This record gives sequence, structure tokens and C-alpha cells, in this order.
Amino acid sequence: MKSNKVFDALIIGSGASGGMAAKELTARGFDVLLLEAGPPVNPARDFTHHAWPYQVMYRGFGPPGWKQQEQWMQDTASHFSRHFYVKDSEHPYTTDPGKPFMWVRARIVGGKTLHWGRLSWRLSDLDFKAASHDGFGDDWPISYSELAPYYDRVEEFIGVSGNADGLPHLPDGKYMPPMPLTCGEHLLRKGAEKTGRRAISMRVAMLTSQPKSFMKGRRKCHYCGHCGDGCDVNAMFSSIASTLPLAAATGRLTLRPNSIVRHIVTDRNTGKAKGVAFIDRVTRDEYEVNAKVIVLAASTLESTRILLNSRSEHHPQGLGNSSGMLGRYLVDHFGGIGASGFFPMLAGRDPLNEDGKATGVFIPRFRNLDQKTRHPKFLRGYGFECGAGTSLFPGMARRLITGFGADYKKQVRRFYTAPVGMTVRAAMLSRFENYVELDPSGVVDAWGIPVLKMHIQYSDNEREMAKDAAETSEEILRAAGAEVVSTGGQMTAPGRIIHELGTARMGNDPKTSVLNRFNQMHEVKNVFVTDGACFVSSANQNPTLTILALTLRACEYLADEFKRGEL
Amino acid sequence: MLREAENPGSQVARLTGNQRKLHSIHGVLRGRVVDGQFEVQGQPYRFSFVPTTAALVVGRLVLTGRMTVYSPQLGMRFVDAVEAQAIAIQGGVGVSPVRRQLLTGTAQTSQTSTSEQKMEQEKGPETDLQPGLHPFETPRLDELGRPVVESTGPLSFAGVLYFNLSPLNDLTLGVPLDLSKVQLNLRLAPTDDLARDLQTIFSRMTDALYDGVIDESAAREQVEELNRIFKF
Repeated sequence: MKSNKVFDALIIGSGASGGMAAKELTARGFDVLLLEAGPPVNPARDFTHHAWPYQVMYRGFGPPGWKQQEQWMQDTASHFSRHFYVKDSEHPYTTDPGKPFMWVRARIVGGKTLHWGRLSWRLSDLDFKAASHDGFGDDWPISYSELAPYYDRVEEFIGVSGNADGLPHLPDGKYMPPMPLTCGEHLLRKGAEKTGRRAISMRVAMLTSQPKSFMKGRRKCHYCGHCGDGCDVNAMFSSIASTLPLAAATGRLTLRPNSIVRHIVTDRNTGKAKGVAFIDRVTRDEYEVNAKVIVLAASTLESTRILLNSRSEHHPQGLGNSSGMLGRYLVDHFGGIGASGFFPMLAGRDPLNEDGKATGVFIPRFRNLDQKTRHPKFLRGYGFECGAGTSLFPGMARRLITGFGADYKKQVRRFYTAPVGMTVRAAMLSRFENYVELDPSGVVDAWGIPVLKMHIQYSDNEREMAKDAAETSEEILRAAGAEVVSTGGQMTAPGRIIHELGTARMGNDPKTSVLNRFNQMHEVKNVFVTDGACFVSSANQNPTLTILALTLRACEYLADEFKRGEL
Repeated sequence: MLREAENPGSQVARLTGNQRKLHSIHGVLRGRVVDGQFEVQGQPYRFSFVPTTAALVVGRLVLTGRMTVYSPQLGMRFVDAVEAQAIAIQGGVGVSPVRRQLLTGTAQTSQTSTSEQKMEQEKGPETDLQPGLHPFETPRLDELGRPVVESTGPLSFAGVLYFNLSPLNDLTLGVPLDLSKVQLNLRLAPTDDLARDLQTIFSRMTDALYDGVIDESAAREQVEELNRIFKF
């Protein structure tokens, strides 16, 4: 079957970045094809957010062994959300012994926006210009003032609840009212302040007031607390609730699910992209489709994998990779370190619906902001995500309380209302030696596409930061009046926080970067990479808001260049 | 609600002429048997691979054994002397299995590893939703008093082994696909003691063979252990 159809733009991936690109480009008159590797989603069938554990077999833990055998790396997948995630058995990747990487992936229309954490922080120039600040690595090729208008637009579009807190290193934005704190979180906030640290309401992409006129089909959060299983009222931002319906309404979007991109096809004469080759996930038929511009938004490592697999005469090391930088500077945030305990003054009170509010308190970065806060043993910094209050499953019962029988039950009921915990979200330095490559031994996935081999380890900088975070978290909990039960923990394996970033970074110099300051490939002008792969450094803030803002900015530039015939 | 175009029809060009291949199959260890399933045109095909010998060939682990396929139409078919060469690994993440000292030719039970693994399964994931409500893992510190990284270094273990199978005959096995180059992904998620022992051996083996410098004598010890187990 031959096809002469040439789309204006082809977007790969329908998650946060792909959805935003689809909305923006269709609004600007582009005829867009969006390829999504996974199946379509039907909220009526696939969202099980109001199901109780006791309504299903195995109380929501799933059949014995399913996770270990099928979705062992999809850590946040539960019985209720397992269909949002890939099966590891079909999507392999490799590592060296002793250096694992946890790669959590969602191949489905909407991608990880169906179950993301929703925390929406801006980066500041302390992050964009981090290298100038402390001498390590490279600055981003953009500054906060350039991205700030796009942050504004994104926040207003997706709906973010939070406070204006006046912290220069965590710039304020356009917010709906914040979700209220629990009693324990108020105590924690006061404790943090006693130690000289701020504690603020988390800023989350959830509607806490009446939706604006363009937020069709979305409603206020009703505090059911099951956001990770899919939100049927669309209070939380997701592609399927927000960006994709608007793109579809223009009549200029063609969305094709179950389309696994094998590689980008390039023109033999010019080296420019002319389309993509993809495989139908279900039938395994192979296709090619043509487009004038390609937007890669398949997620950080999938986008880089597609580029590495797009080898040709013009691009023997992968598309746009004559610098050898493609795949380099992989980072994730780390967690796993913190402290937990309980507030004696909250023990034994009547329980409330406190985990319906799917957010908590955040203690923003307080290290290395200036000379006064400089830490002698590490660069950059970390924040603490904290929560306190009752939750559906009394997780503290297993390790914080010992005993058995009636007395044990009594203790669980007593302390059920009192737990408090804080865990770190910390920056990882972007280093050349942390990278991905196509697996050199030739491992492929279920469709015969070469897979990635991950090479990533923490440095002494992260380890020193972890030690400091463990000590500081205990200090804060004690200042808040909590009984501390456990401190420290283990640093999470790279990938576990699901903030993998870098590998196709932006920069002004084509010798040391893959993309220019508008997410456009230095070497292939009609290819843009708009997901987390473009990050130059990780900061310690959750990245999705920045990905959305960068996508918006890149699409604006793309449209202008397209009109001028520069692509 | 959003509607997707299942098939943009003539807007994309379908490529023809490619013979359909079976690229990779996935199995888990049950005892010493690799059990799994793949689909061809919506039909499930169960398979099992039973290794009977292990060897080191040019610094790589090679298992030899019987491949059996249960075809929905043709029933059970098998091929002997199928070679599976381990080409790569994936490190596991989670609670490390306890690396036990194996007693020659026997499979000792270990409640320690099973209960720790069970605890890990029951632990809620660390998420952005009300973080910190889950108790932290028992702290382990490095020599400088810094927290260690989960599932790395001495806490590490092999999660998946990737094997290239020697060419299989699609007609013999009754699978309507090209089987000339099939990759076997062996997930090590043991639920029995023999599989746990094998995971320990495979973890030691990968340390010896697949981490830069090859330690052939350490690998040979593990090959001997494997052959002892495969004899039973």
C-alpha cells in the first residue's frame, strides 16, 4: 500500500509533552499525526479509582507473583492501575551487574499523566544557571525570565493549586487555592520553622476551585485520594482530560494508538527527517508515514532510544549525534532517605479522611542557596516531601508497632491517626559518565527493536547529600514534637523516582549538546525533542511543569520557523 | 471523550515483504524449568525450556536443553539440544535475595529470603502521595557513614538474564513464525527453593562474567553447581 500523505507534524508520544505539543500545533493550524505506542484508554472501563481493596481478590495486591514476574520494575503499579504500565516482559533493557536502573514506563494514550504525582514546581535561575553558581557542569541555554511566561500559561491551563510563598529559588506562579494541611502537617510546618526552614503546601496540578471555561469536562477534586488509579472527574491534569480533547476538537489531530516507532526515516540527500517507521503493536504489521516536522515526546529514554536507533548514512551514530552527546548526562532524583515516626499528641483521636487529600507539605531546598547556606561536602540541594495523618492502609502497623493479638490491634487503632514522615527529593549531578546506549550485545524487545543499556551510578556528592538529609529530617521531626521511629533508609536505585532526565540535552554548542535552546536538534532542523531528555541538569524539583513549559515554548518557535520555511 | 483513529487508512503506508519473526520470548523459573508464553495472531503458545547442562563458551554461559512448545492447534512439540547463550543481564531492584552458601547437590530452604521478599511485596511504593507514611528500610551505611543505595553493589542481584537461542525450526515446533533468531528473557522471580538457589548462582555468575573483567575460575565454580543441580 502506498501513501503520499505528508502530515505537517508528527508527534511521538501522548503524555505530558506530546499532548501539549498536539494541542499547541493543532491550534496553530498544523495537520498533526500523533503516534502512541500503547493502547487507547477508556476511563469508564479502565479507571477503578473508587474501588475498595476488599472488593477485589487479593485486597488489591494482585495475584501472587504477578508483579515479580510481569511488572517488576513498574513499582507504582497496583492491581487497580497495572494496565497503565508496560509489561517488563515485553519491554526489556539491560544493565551491568550491581548497577540496576528502575525504568517505570506507561505505554497508553495519556502516558504517565494518568497516574503522575502532580507536583508542579518551577525551576529558578539557581537551577538554570547552577553551573555559574557553583562551578559544576553546564548552565542551561535559557534563563528563568525566558521560561516564566510559559510557566504562567501552563499553570493557568492545567490548573495548579498552591500558595504564593515568596521563595526566590522556588518562584511563585498562578494558583488555585491550596489543599488544606492536616493537623500533623501543621505541627510539622511549625517544627521546620523552629529549625529555620520553610514548609509550604505542595503545589499540585489538581483543580481546587471551579474549572475555567476552557477546562471542559473537568471538575473540582472531590478528595477521594485515588489519583494514581485514574481520575474520572478529571480534577487532576492529564493529557486525556486536557490537551488531547482540545487538539481533537480542531479536527486536525489524527491519533493512532498501538504504534511503536522503530526509527525516524531520513532523506538520503539532505539528512533531514522525512517520516517514521513504526510497527502496529497488535498486528505486528510495519508502516511508514511521512511528515514535515517530527516532535519526539516519547519520554526521556524512549525518545533517546528512537534517536539512537535512527542510524543512517548521514547519521551513523544515531540521528543528530555526531557530537556523541546523545545518551549522555542521564540523571534521576533520589529518594528513600528521611525520617518517620508519630505525634503522641495526635494518637487516639478520631480518624478523619486525611489521605483523600492527595498532597502534603514540602520543605523546599535550604542548602547551597548562597554563601551563608553553603554546605562543605556537597553541591546543589534537596527538598523534603512530607505527610502526616491517617491513610487507608495503616502502613505504620507493620514496623512501627510490635506485638500481636488484641493488644496489637489496640495499638494500631491508637497510632493510626498519628503517623508522620518525610522523604527526600534530591538533585543528582549531571555527569558525562552516566549514559545510555543501544545494548551492545544485541538485545531486542518483543518487536525486534534494539533496547537500551543503562549506565548510571550516584557520586560522592549524592551520598553526602543523603547523609545530610537523614540527619536533618530527624532534627526537623524532633523539633515538631514527633517521636522518631526510623531515620535514614537507603538511597533509591536510579530510576525509582521516575524523574529520569537528560540524554539529549539542550545547549548553545553543538559539540556538547544535542538540542538548541528551542529543543530543536542542532543537526536535524525538522526534529524537536520536547520531553525530559532535553534537561541540562535535574534541580531537585519535579520536572513535569518545566517539560510542559518547554514544550509550549518549543512549539511556538517551531510554528514560526515552519511559517518562514526554515524547517 | 477523546476518540482515536484506530486506522488512519491510506494516510500511512504499510510495508510488505517482511517475514514475521518471533523476536523475543519471556519466561520465569519454576524449579529449574523456564516457563512462559507468547502470542501469535492472538493465539497463546506456552513454552518451556529445561536446561540439562551448563558450560562456559568463550566467556559466556551456555545452557543446553529441551525446548517444548504447546501449540493450540498441534499440541506439544519439542526440540532437544537447544543452546541458550547468555548475552546480557538486567539487575534486579528490591530486597536482595539472601545469597546462601549452597550445600553440594542439595537445595536448602531459606525462610529469611522468602519473608523479606514478601515484606517488600507488601510495602507500598514510595510515591508523591503522602510520602513518608511508609516506614523506611533498615538503614545500611557505607564505610564513611553514608546511606547505601538499594539493590546495588553487595545488595545487588540478577533480575533478568537474556539468552540467544540457537536457531529453532518453526515447522518442527509448529509455530507459524520465523524462529531463526529468538531471544529468551529469563526473569528470575523465584517462588520455590530450587529457583532461589539458581538465582543465587546466576547472580554470582553474572558478577564473574558480565561486569568488565572476567573471572573465569569463579564462573567455572558456578557452572559446576549448575550441572550438579541439573543432574537431579
